[in-house]
Amino acid sequence: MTSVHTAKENLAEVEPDARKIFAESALSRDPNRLNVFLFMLDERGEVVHECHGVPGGRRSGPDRSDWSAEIAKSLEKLILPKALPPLANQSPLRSLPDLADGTASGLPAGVRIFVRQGDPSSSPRGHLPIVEVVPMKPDDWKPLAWSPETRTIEAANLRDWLVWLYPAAIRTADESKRFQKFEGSLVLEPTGRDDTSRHALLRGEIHLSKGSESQSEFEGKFEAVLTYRLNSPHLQSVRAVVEGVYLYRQRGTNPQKLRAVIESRPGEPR
Amino acid sequence: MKNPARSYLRAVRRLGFLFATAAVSLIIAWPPDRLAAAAGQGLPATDDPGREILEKFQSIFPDDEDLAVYGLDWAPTLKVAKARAAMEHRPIFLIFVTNSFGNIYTGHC
Repeated sequence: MTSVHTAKENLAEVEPDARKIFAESALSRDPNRLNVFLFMLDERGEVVHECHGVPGGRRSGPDRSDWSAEIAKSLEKLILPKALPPLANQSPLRSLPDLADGTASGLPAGVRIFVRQGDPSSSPRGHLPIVEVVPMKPDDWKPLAWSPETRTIEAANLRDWLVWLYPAAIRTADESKRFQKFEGSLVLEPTGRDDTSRHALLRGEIHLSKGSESQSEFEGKFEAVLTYRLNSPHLQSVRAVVEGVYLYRQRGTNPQKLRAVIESRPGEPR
Repeated sequence: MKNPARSYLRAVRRLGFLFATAAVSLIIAWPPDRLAAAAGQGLPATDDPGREILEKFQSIFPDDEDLAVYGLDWAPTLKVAKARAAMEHRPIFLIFVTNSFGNIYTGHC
């Protein structure tokens, strides 16, 4: 399975093989088309089936498809063997975004962020996490180095993490302009140690904006537990929680509750 | 024993849920006690605000069912998918999205 995305009408940034498949398809010329399309290819990369990709559901129409029915049609056309060879990676979450190795210094390779929308008890969307990974260089971790004294860290130091705090299904114009300003002072406070590590908390309010009050913003609370080795100022792990509201500005303001967790990777096995 | 084709269909349907509210379930067992894992971070058991943060972390952290779409065998590009398809004699499911800076794989779409 793979996906291709572009916001440019000329498809210039799309890899050539994918561009050719779409350009030569009847879907690309369908006046009823929306913006999602499915293609099933055989093992030689030849298209055997294509359909509109926005699921039909109750709003069925010529611009939408029943995925189950279309996949079933594809499977008939593919003439697959009775049993496919087993996948090399048998993990149940074999494609979960991740960072494989830490740095030579022992610092984490980066962080993985899970963003969740809405209230999961009332919103089906809240069950579907967004997953982003952020690789980090050793110098990137320096602002979070151990300090025996309480000190303040500006939220801007975490901009590469915080920039992902926005929901899915926002308009392209909103997504294409990411947060520009990262405001808030976070307090890094040592809290103790045990036999293997030292601990600290990092907490504070954050405000993320795009430079204009007419554009979307995020307001929320950041809280993290940090661990350090006993004899090194280098950070060992971080587990953070962010809770807040994305003020989605599109002809008015639509507040959307967001929750996120941030974990350093690699980490403990799930 | 699980039927691979059936599991595949279920997971693909779940991917479709990113665009609509059609539900699908792929039941995978809840991981073992996560709070025990949090305790494994070495924090004192009582009277520590860090414990409250870690408990909140665990409550927000998605479970395997929420992440079922990542049980599919994703390739980062069509080029990679084609190379693997040829080698492993597998078909390719290509999702093509226009008018979007998003990314179906990460969920920011």
